Order: sequence, then C-alpha cells, then structure tokens
Amino acid sequence: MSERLWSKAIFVGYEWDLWSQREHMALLKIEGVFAPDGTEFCLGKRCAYVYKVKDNKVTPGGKPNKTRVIWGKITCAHGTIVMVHVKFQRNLPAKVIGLRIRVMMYPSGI
Amino acid sequence: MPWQKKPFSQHVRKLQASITPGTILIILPGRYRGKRVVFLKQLSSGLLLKFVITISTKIDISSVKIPIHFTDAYFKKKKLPKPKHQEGEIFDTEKEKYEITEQRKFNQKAVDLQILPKIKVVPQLQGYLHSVFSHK
Repeated sequence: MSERLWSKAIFVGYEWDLWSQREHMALLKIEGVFAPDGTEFCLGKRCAYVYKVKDNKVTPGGKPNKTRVIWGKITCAHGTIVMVHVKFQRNLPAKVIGLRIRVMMYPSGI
Repeated sequence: MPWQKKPFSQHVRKLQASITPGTILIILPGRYRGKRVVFLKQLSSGLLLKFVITISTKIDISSVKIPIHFTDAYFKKKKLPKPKHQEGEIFDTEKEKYEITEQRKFNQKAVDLQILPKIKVVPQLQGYLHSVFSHK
C-alpha cells in the first residue's frame, strides 16, 4: 500500500492571453477534479514539482539527497474544463509540460 | 486601530469549529504525515491548525488534565550549542546530541496514561489510530 498524501496533477502549460504566453502562472489539471466544487476545494493548496538532479543538496529533516522541489500555490480556477492556475516560486521549466506535479492536501480547511 | 497591521505574534488564531479537544486529526506534512492523532488543546501560536484534516470521530477527554506548561516554548526545537574549539582540542570536542529530557518522558507518560483508557473504550479506535492515512 502506497503512502501517497498528495493528489496527482499534470502541468498542462503556461497561462496564455490571446497571443502570448505568460510563464509566471501555470495551468494544472488535477486528477479526480471534474466539477467546479472540486477546484474550490483545491484553492490555496500547495503544489510541488519534484525532480532529481545529479548533485546532492541539503534536505530539511533528512540527509542531503538528489531530490529537489519547486513549491507553488493554487491561486484560482481556470475555465469550465476545470483546470487550475498555480503560481510557483520559480517559474516551471517548459520541459515539464505534460509531467507530474503533486498537489498537497494542506493548507486544509476541513 | 483595527486595520493597522499587527505583528505575527499578535494575530488572532482562529480555530475551525470542527476541531474541539478530543477530535481525531490526520497530520498532513512533516515527519508524521498520515498519522492519526488526538487533538488535546490549541497553543497560542496556532501551530499546525491548517495542516491537518479533521475527522468527525471524537473522544471525550473532558476529564483529561493536560499539563499547563505545554506551551509553544516547551515544544520549540532546542538549538544545541556548537562545541567551541579550544587549544589543542580541535578534533576532540564531541558534538552534543539531542537527548530526551526526563521531564519530557514524565509528561508524555502522564498524558498517555490519561488518554489511553479513553481510546480503548471506543471499539477499534486503537487500531484506527495505529493506521496511516494515504490516498490509495
């Protein structure tokens, strides 16, 4: 039994206006969220893009390891397709489009 | 004036109505993630309140006495002093390790002794608290 405490999501792309892309905001599609009340539950939750690199780096609460994180927060819902806007502390790299982002269950309001 | 910004230490900590002493909670982040715990009391710093899921199960702990000195200062992580290098002892000074004080062990036992009987009263609750929450 796995110990996953986060929801699966996919980084669909960056925010767009009519002609250009704005990389400071990301669009996420969260697994299991099909209706607007699903996105309402997700607002304000923290998101993480987790990746591994060659060098070791200090991990809080553990030994230095190769895992790194870019943290973000879900800011608002996106349209009727039930996606979600996320602002990351650093912009996500474009090669992550289509890859896994973790949506944490905190800060929780239940 | 109420609209002036207050420093963090003076912020009002609101607690969700669903969290009362005796509620079972699931801790979300950190070393104890997924663990199910019993809520005892709210500390003045409001620590952790946004990082748990509340479960509707509650146990009655109205008669449990929680030591008064359970405050934020008691739970704050203690910074160990780094060993100062003296002459001729550069490689001999040992690092101080974190040791659990006797007072902590005593307090832990005192609270456990009061709460464990309350948990055992509810059927299957002890096993439930043992188990870990996860998505799958």
